[in-house]
Amino acid sequence: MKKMAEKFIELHHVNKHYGGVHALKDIDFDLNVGEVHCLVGKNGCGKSTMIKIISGIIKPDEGSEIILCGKKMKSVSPQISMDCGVRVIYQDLSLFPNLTVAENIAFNQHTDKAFKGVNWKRINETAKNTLDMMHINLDLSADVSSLSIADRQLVAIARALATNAKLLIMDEPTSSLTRKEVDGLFTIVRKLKEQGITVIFVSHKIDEILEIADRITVVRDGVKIATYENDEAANIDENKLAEIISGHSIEYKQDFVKPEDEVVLEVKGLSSGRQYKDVSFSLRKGEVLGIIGLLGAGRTELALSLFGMNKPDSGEIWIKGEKVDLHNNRDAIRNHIAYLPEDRLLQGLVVDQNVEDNMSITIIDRIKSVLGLVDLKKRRAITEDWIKKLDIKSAEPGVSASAMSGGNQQKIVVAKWLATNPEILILDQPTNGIDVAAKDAIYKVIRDLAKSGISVIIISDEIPEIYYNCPRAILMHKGHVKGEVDCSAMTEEEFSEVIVNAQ
Amino acid sequence: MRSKLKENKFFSSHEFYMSIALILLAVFFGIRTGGLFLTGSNLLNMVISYSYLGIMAMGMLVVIISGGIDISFMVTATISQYIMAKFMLEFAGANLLSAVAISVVTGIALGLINAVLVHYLKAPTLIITIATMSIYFGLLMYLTNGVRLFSFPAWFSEKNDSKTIGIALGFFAAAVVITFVIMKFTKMGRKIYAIGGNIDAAKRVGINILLVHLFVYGYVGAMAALGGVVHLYLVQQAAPNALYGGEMDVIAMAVLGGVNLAGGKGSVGGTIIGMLLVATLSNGLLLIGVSSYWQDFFIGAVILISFCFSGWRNIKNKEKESKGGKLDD
Repeated sequence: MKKMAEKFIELHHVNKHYGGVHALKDIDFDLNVGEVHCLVGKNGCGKSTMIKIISGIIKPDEGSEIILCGKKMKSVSPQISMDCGVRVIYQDLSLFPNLTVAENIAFNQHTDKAFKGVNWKRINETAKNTLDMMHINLDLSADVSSLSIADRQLVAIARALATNAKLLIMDEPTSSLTRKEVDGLFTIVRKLKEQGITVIFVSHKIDEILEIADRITVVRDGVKIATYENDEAANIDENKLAEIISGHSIEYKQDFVKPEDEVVLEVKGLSSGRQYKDVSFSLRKGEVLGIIGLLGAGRTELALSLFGMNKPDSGEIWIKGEKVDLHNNRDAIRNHIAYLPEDRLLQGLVVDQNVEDNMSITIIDRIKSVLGLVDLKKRRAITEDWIKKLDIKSAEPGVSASAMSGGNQQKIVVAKWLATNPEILILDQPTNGIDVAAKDAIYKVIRDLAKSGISVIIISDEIPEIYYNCPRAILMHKGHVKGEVDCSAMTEEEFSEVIVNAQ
Repeated sequence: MRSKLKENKFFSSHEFYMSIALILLAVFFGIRTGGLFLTGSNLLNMVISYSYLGIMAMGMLVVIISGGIDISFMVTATISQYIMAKFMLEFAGANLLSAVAISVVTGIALGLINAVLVHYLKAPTLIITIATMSIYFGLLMYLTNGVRLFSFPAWFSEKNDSKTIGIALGFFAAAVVITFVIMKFTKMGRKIYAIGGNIDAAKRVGINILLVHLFVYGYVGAMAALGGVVHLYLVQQAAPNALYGGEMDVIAMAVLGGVNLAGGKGSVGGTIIGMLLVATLSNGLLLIGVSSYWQDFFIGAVILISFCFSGWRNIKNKEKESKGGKLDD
């Protein structure tokens, strides 16, 4: 019989309606003090709403009961949440980039009436003590704007700890971190656990969840499906979890498209400063090639060179048997190369504009009427065609791109580039931040594209993504090509090992 | 190791390069005027003449750091100056303290109006303050009918060297010190930097944005009024359109001093250097006989060059960070 753990917070019969939408349906949830609890679910499943209720930003419906700090309440106010030690670290981290690490960490001394005036010595001491407690080293006088995302995250965590945090809620903390940085983050999380601090992790990444979580709660469509113990006895595995999250079974199997013989792209000895060196490979028509490596491997820089936006120092790029010099991305587009950036929100979509505007921007010159104005009918027809072809659910030409789910947004970006009739499509982290079911849909699109003769390069740091889609993968590590792997000839575990050994 | 980093931060900072530019300019004018520019009396006069703009630049610095801008401050200065002039002319018991107080209170009041509009209208601060500038100016011209005020009481109009230095440099020094202390050592000052850096984060950590806006725009108004007081003393007359058009000089001082127009960055020291640059340029050009119409041209050119230079340095730094050097095997 397991000892009853002390509860940090309990939610009973929590409902939340947004207008007519029943966002949270009779949620029953509890959190043990000192545990690492992962909250998982598709975009829009209700996990953000749960977090907002716990942190007091929004109030649940009548009839909801919350027990926090040993007290029963109908809703949590931001003040109570703060007093009970709840700290949320949002995905944007909410730091002040123009201020130093020390000032960011100790910032509450500026807002808390208990602290008198601005005492720089006190600020620096607090910051140093907090960082020492976390066993990490950062330059206290550096502006946060000069820090990497991983280091900024550490500053955000330090700031929460400096104010006596008892519960740390982290929203998708690992999206922009390298594997090594994720390890660093997990080490910190474990240290926090040792000190009795509770952590809620909201994440999409199943393998990371299984690595760090003590318990996992899956939410789907506003309903709490289940809470699982993540220990030997429970035997939760990735596939099972993916199924539970998406609600239908996802089959992971290698489904390769056989490429044609014609070589469409050849890269010879490409080098660019400190980013990558001596990269050579070839790509055939209809082939899906993987480039796998962690952040810092130089993959995106290489892709940008192929797209004309990062001129290499030396080496050659040959397209369909002819040497090309790509001075800018217009050259690349003219050579039928398309590139989908990693950050679809900042670089892939114009989020405030609607679906139609986003999809037609790459071919705007081609849909001009005689007078030089945009042919609206033509544009609408092309947009609706792509929505159908790519099965972008709930998308209508006039809807704002920001209202679409992550998966659908990515499909819009894909459509935008497919409209340029590319022969080579470079996808950089194509399913970053996209839930499991939508990932599958994107992979289907990629396979269909390859079947139709488009050559696809998938750049990713996710092992399953490369393993199940690419018969051939190039390993990159710190700017060097470490090898080429035939994925069809090995198991996923073997593939994993090859990657790890290449680091 | 820590101190080396601190050293580095200064030497690659905007302020450092502007100091160099200032020294070069000063040397250039010194040579071209046969040493006249660099004489003690010329330098003193130069600083005194530009002290009132320098005071206003302190207010400008604060508002730009907060992420906004205020174009109406010159008109605020004029109104405050005019009211102070009227007060001195019509109240027998007026003295410097009460006169300055009236001026500053007026400036703060006009500034608070800006603050409320900025906070609740949620329109760009540039647009809002252009609007208030026009409104204030229109009201001023209407109410004053363009009439100039002069012949102030003896305690104000009697000028001697030490009094002039005391007022011009004294008020300037006070403005500099107060601004420095506020921005570096008060919570309000740090909150101003925070809002300029990331207003959403500032809201999240519970900063009362309205209070900060009230303070910032009130402060611009106060500094504008203080500058107006010094200006009134120097020229001994209050003309409703005298200060109009001087906005660009003040903004130039802040910008050359390294303030970031996007907000969140800027220093008192830098702004002082900016003020000296504008003053040196104008005064130097005057001394070598260049028509005053060219002054605007040169100030604009210097701003453009300084922006191009810092923009270029930014690009080079980013490139060095991502690409610099060679990859070893």
